[in-house]
Amino acid sequence: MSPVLVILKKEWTDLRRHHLLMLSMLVPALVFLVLPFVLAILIPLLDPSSLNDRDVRRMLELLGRAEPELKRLDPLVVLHIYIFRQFVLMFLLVPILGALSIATYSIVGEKQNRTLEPLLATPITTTELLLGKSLAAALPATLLVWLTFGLYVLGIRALSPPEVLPRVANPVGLSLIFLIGPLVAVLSLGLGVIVSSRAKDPRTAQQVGVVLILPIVALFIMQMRGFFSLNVQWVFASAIVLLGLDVIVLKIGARLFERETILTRWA
Amino acid sequence: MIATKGLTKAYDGKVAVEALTMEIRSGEIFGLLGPNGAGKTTIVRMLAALVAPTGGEAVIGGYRLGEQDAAIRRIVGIVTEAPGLYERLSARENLEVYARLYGVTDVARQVKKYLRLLDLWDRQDEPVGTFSKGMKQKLALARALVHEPKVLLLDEPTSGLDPQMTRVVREFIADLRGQGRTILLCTHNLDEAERLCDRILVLKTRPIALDTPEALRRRLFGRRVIVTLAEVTERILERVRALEFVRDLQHQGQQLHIALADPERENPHLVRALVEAGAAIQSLAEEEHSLEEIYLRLIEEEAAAYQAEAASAR
Repeated sequence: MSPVLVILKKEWTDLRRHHLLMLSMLVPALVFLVLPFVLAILIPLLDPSSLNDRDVRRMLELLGRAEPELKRLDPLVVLHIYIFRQFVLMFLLVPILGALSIATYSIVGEKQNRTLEPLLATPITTTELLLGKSLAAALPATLLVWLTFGLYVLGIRALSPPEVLPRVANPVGLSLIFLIGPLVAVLSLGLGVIVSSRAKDPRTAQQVGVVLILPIVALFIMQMRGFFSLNVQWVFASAIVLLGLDVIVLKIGARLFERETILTRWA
Repeated sequence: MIATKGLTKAYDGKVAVEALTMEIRSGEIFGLLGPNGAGKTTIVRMLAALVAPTGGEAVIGGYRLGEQDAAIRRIVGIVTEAPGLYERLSARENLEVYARLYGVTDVARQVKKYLRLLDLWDRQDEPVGTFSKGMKQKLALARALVHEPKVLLLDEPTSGLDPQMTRVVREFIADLRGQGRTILLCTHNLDEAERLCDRILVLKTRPIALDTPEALRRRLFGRRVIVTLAEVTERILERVRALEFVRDLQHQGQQLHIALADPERENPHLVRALVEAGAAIQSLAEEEHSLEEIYLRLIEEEAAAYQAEAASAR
C-alpha cells in the first residue's frame, strides 16, 4: 500500500472515532440543510402574511428585475427559489469548516500527542505525508458538501413546487458546489497547514477559518440585499482566483512541511 | 554499525552537539549519558535522519547520513521519550500503520509477532487511549521493531514507568542484544545503563568520555581494596607502606583503603604481610564505585575544564 494511502486510511479511521470532530463537521451541514426549508416552507405555512412583508416583497422585486421570467411565477415559488439559491452559497462553509477542522486537528493533534517524531522517522517523504493529510481533509469535506447538496436537491424536489429545482440546481448552483466547493476546501486545508505550524492547539488554528468564512458570508448578505447576483461568469472568475490562491497556499504549506522544521520548530 | 566523525549540530548558532566521534559495533548496547540539554536527543534525531547535522559525518549500517537518509530510516527503529501513539487506534492498528509505512511485506505476521512478544495480544483491538503508560511504552517498542531494524534508538525508554514495568522493558531490551541488533540507549537512569550497556558515552554537548563502565571506573578511581582489621597499629601501617606494589594507603578507623594495580595478583601478598604484622583481618573487599559516581566525577571535571577554558579565553 502506498504511504499516501496508509496515511489516508489512518486519518479516516481516527476521524471516524473522533466524535466531536465529526459533530463539528456535520452540525453546520445539517443547519444549512434544514434552515432554508424552515424559512421557505414552514414560515409561510405558519404565517401566510409573511409573503406581504416589505423586505420579502423587495427581494422578490429584485429577483424579478434580474430574471423577468420569474415575474410570471407564483410569489411563493419565487420565494422558494430565492431562499434555496441563497443557501447554496452558504453550503460553501461546509467544506471550509470541514477541511479546516480535519487539517488542523490532523497536524496540531499530532503535535499535541507527540506522534510526529516516530511518524517522520519512517521512510515516508514529507510530500507523501502532506498529500495523505491533505486528501484526508479535503475529500471528506468535499464529499460532505456534495452529499448535503444531494439531500438538498431531494428535499427541494419533494417539498417545493416543480418550478423551483431547475432554478436552484442551475449552472450557477452546480458550479458553486462542484467547482468552488473543492477549491475552497483545498484553500482551507492549505491555510490550516500553514497556521498549524505555529498553533499549539487545533482550536487556535481553526480561527484562521474566519478569513475564509467572512467573504462567503459577505457575498451571502450582499446577494440577499440585492447588491449583486451571482452568475456563471462570476463563479468561473472566482474559480480562477481560488485556483491561484490554492497553488500559492499549498506551496507555502509544503515549504513549511519539512522534517526538521516540523520537529524542531513546530513542536 | 554506526560511525560518526566530528558530528555537530547547531540550532540558530547555538551548538547542541559538538564534534561527536564514535563507533558503535554491531550487536552492541551503547549508552548515551548526560545531563538535560546535553544533546542526547539531538544525536538520536540525527542518527534517525530526522534532523541534518551542521557539521561532520555519519555512516549508519553502511549508509551515509545526508545522502541515503531514506535507506537509513528503513534500517533504524526509534522509541521516543513519549510513546507517541494514536490513541483512538487500537494496538494492532497502530502497528499496522507503521508496518505498512516501513514497507513490511507480511504485515499481519509481524504485527502478531510483536503483540505476542510484548504481551499485548489479548488487548490488540482496544484503543491505545485505554492503555497504561507501561503498556504504551511496550507498544512503542513493538512499533520500533515491527520492521526488524538493524539499529534501535531508544530515548529514555523507561522514563516515568513503575519499577515493575521498568524491569519488563529493561529485560526486553537485554533480550534484543542476543538478536544481534545494535542499540543506542539514551538514559538518565544510571543503574539501567550499568546493567544494559556494553559501553557508554558521557557527554555534555561535546563528548567527555567513552568506554566500558569498568574501564572508566578504573581510569577515574583506580582499584582499591578495603581491609577491615580488629585493630590498626603503627606496625601494620608501616608494613603495608613498605610493600612495593601498594600505590596509596588511607586509614579510617579499623579500615585500610589500599590502592593496588592488580588486586587479583597482589591480594595474597598483602594478606600475608598483614598477618605477619600481627593483623587480625575481619574482611577484605574491593572498593565499589557506582556508575553514578563515575558520571558525576566526569561531569564535574568537564565543568572545571570548561571554566578553565573560558578563563584562558578571557
